[in-house]
Amino acid sequence: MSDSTQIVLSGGTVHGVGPADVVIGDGVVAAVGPDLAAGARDGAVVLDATGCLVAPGLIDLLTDTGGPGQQERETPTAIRRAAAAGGYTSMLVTSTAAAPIDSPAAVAERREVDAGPLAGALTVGHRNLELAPMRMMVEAGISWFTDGGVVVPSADLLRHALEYGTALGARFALRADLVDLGAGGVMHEGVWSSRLGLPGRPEAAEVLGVQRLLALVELTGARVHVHTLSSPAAVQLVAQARRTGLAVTADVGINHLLFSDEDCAGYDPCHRFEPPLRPAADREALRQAVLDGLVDAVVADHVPCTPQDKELPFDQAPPGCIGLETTLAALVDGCGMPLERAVDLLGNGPARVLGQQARAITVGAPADLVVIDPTAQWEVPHDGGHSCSSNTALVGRSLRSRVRHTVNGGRITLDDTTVTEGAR
Amino acid sequence: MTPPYGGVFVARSTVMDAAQVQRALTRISHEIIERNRGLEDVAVVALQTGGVEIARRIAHLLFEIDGVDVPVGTLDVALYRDDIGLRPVMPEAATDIPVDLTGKVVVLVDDVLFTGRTIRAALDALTDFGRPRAVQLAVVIDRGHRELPIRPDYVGKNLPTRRDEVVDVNPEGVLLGEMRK
Amino acid sequence: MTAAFEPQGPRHLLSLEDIGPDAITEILRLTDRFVEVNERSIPRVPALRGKTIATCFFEDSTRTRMSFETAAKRLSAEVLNFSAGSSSLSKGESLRDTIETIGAMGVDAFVVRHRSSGVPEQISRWVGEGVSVLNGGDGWHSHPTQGLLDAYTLVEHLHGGAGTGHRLDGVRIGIVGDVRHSRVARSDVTAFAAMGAQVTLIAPSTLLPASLEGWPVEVTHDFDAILPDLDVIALLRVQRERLADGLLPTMQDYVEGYGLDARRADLMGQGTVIIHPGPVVRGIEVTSEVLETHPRVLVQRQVANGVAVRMAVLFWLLGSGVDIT
Repeated sequence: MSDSTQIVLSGGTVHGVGPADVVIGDGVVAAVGPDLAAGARDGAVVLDATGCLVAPGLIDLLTDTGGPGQQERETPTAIRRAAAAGGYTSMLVTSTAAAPIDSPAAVAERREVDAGPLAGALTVGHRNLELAPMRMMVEAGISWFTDGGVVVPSADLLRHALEYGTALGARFALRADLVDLGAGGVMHEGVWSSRLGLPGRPEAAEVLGVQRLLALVELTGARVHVHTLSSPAAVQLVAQARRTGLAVTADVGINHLLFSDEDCAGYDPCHRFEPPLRPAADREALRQAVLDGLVDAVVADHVPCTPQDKELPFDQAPPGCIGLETTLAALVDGCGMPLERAVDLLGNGPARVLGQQARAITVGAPADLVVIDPTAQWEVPHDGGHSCSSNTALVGRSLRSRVRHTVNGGRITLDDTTVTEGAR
Repeated sequence: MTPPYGGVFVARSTVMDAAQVQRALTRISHEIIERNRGLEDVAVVALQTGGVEIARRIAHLLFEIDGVDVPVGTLDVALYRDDIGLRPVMPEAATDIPVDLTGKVVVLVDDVLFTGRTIRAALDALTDFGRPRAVQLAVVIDRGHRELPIRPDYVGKNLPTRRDEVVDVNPEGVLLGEMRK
Repeated sequence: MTAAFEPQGPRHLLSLEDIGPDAITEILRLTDRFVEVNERSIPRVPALRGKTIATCFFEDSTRTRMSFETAAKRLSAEVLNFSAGSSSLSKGESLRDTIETIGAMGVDAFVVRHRSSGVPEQISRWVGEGVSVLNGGDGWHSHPTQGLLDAYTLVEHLHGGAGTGHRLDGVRIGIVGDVRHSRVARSDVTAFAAMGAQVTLIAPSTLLPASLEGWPVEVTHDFDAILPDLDVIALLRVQRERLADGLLPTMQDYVEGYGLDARRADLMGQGTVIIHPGPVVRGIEVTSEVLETHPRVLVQRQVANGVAVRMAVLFWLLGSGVDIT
């Protein structure tokens, strides 16, 4: 199918507009209005959107797409297919310790497989010893730098990274943590870590980490996005800092809105996360904070792991779960978030963090769209879906709300829940 | 009586009343003394739990008749059954054999003899307590349906039964009935 | 007797919290039977003949493994031993692959010890239908047979056995030492509380769990104050590693506050007993003097009862066909 094929999304409700059809051609929205299917060109593809919400495509921040040498965990094809199935039309791909994007050469290598914008490493190999060559990487087109989830322990090094990058116009996506408080902990320190006999990390580690980061932001003037906050206290600190004028944004991972530390009982390493799952009361407060608009975005926090990784003892298994395919349904059905709010938190919220304009579905807008059926019930498959990895804590769970169609850059990547995105 | 699957015992008829049981035990006691030409070297071992009260009464009768206090032990064969894992099996009661059984004539006592598997298990267990010179078996009721070549030496009464029937020996006598869930 | 009966026995023993107080009581009652077996000149019954039990000790412990092995053999089961120390457990192989390889040899039960909490529970999800997993000690979490044998030893000391009605109601037990890192402590707390005892944890705050919410215990940091009121002192090991972790200033500091020496032994009440899971580090949790001369150190009984308790547990899992939980 070529980009010039006309696509009509027919019979749905357009986010921000109301009941309307959407016509897509040449990679952009060509028309929005009622009953447009009848007037469609010959050869136009009509996608049924009856009963559905038509919204801007979802955007994920700091997705772990595997990378060079990581084919066992994730391949470029699989990640694109998983994204299509989950309604994602764009991702800020993260550098990780396993596949660091820490030089112009690494940037070029990664660009061959990952289409979206890339977040480069703050330090070489994420070893947190020396800064990555930020200037050369900015020249190679990188505008975001990240710690890849490996928080920089040295306040001095972090400060220098923020100063150096800010002078180049770069922005930063970082986790907030004080790594030497509760070092060795594998879950939240509290009632459940005591019962399960697992070393824990106190919530204070994240709170102190956020305080440290915010102080450095104030010191350096850096533009920082705080990634995957888990504690309501930390969210309040960031919101407070924003009110005083600091250029910080924050996101929360879907897993911290879904699960609590009690879910670690059973010792399934699919419940091991960084930051760790918090108590149920914290989770409720976090959901409320998200509803109240204190958080800019919700992210899938997609981390593929091999079965061997997750068959290790809980305290040895790497943290994280895949999430691209399930995040929307989990946010709506699992967390009780209204659909219109959810698509904002997963779509325009991340867009604003990335410095983009909020996307409206109007004539001329890029055709990155998702069609969501809020009533469709589906079961999370045991193989995890289209990702190469199957490490999801939602296996077998029945969820209400499903992405029916995804259009990416004017091309259909998901057609009636079937992925049509092939290898490029 | 060890009901295999649980339930409540419902009696249908009385096979022996208390007086008849007592006369049978007296006769059995005389037979034990006669057969063994006295009670020297005799030890009574009761099978838990059905044989315990019977064994106590026999030991008492033996003392009344012959003036000899035979040693009495108890044996729970749960750990020797050949159907472990096939039916609920729990060693409910104590095994207490107060003397070395080597060279002794052991009189095993149980209330009802049925398939013979309990007695087989008991014979197995007895070897862990020494090497008896001989083992004899005394039961109040032999209800048939043997699955192994086991036969009693002393019997209170032979009682033909259907497999699904249940025999209950208690202080009031012997009842025949069935299990109702 | 038809084959229609499906054994409804318990499948795994992962922690005492899982099985509940009724099952704990039942296992202790069952232990009496096996104490009697162990006192015979030939301490053996054919109860588990034909069953194969694999001990998988990813964390070495000769004493505990031998106790399980003895228990299995006295039940006439076959025993396969795998331990990290003997390199029969390959370091490169994944946990699951190891278990599945051993399971393919036809194993009815795994006894698992691992330094990471939760491994026996993870393994229980991978074993075949009808295969039991028995936790031989996992990380800081649980050591169910130790809790059971400690409770049994106390009940035996008080009542002569664990028959019906023999419990620890009102018995005041102090658990002293590194509770935070102790699976024995957690299992002891559950077992003692199930038998009605009053349990107090006695340790410096850095050696207590982060949260004791929901635990059926009192807590104190003052050993001397509570010592005269205790009926039982349950000592735990304190490892030197805790110094490196910064949890204790010096061992001497710990011993000053919590070591059971002659001075503290004099403060003990009449009839108070001492138990310890072993191996004892003399001079730390208790002095050689107290260990050797105090009349009511029950360590030997604990070891003997350990075999009987493990026989009871193995029989309960593999032989009894009874669902007690």
